[in-house]
Amino acid sequence: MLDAMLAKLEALQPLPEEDKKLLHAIVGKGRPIKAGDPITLEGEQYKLVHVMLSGHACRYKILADGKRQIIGYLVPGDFCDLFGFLLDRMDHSISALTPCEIVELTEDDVLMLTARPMLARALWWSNLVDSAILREWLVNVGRRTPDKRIAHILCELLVRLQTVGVARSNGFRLALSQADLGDTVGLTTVSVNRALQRLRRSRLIVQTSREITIPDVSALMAFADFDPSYLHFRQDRDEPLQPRQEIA
Amino acid sequence: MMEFQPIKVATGSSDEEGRLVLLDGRLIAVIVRLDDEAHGAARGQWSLEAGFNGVDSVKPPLFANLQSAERWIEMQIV
Repeated sequence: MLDAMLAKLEALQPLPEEDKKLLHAIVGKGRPIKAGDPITLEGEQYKLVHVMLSGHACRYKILADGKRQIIGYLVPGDFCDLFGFLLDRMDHSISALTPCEIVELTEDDVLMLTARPMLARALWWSNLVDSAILREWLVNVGRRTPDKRIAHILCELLVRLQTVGVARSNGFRLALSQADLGDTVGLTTVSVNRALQRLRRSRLIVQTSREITIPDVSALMAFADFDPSYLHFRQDRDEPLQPRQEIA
Repeated sequence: MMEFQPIKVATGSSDEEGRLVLLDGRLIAVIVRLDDEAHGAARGQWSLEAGFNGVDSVKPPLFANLQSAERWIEMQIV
């Protein structure tokens, strides 16, 4: 179950064998969370860092009138709150969208991991990417048409899920309902429905229930103005793919 | 006085049957009946497509009939 986490971190920063062993020793077994159950709640204090081993979750904020804005997706291998133990109180909530397996790390665990230079780099990268995704989402919600907003989110999910080995080369199982998608990109369920219909009609996606197939991935990416470089996976970076020399 | 004038709306789906909602002769909203089968359980209800002068919501409700649309629109403009 650690595979996704290793795949995610190594997509950002290659890790020496000793670091992988340390990760195995520290992370251990996850605990199951039911779909819909909270992982962390806004306003609460957590001394533990949550890491997704499997399943899908989302970050969100609930407004005073009960409306929800989803502000992030968490897929296998993602850290929910890498330095969250520093916060007095969580400023948003996280809930499971599907059955999840999560692991809880203590501050000491995280300090042990960040004491290893390559692991520290991988974790910093992962934090930088979280911010980059948020910037991209802001642009998406503020400046793209409904069809492109949905298409962009589907492209991002495809790449992120492929990186951790839970997507096919041209599709994946969507863990989100139309209401979830609407709360992500600021559209009503009716608008999401019509956007998905238009994407289907133009054959940019094929959808059977929650199963999304993308017949021509580059066509969908071009339609959505999706450039995967904001995810900073090494395959899309300019630097060579071989591991860096470990600092002595 | 609120009036509902039938209008066809190009939504790119089977949702065509619309109403221009006029308040004292001025356009205040456009609503459309959800007829496309993709809407599932929401079929037959009316959806706010556009609103003017405060008739707006990030997440407007669906309306079972024109009366409930009228009630909701009235609440937005008070």
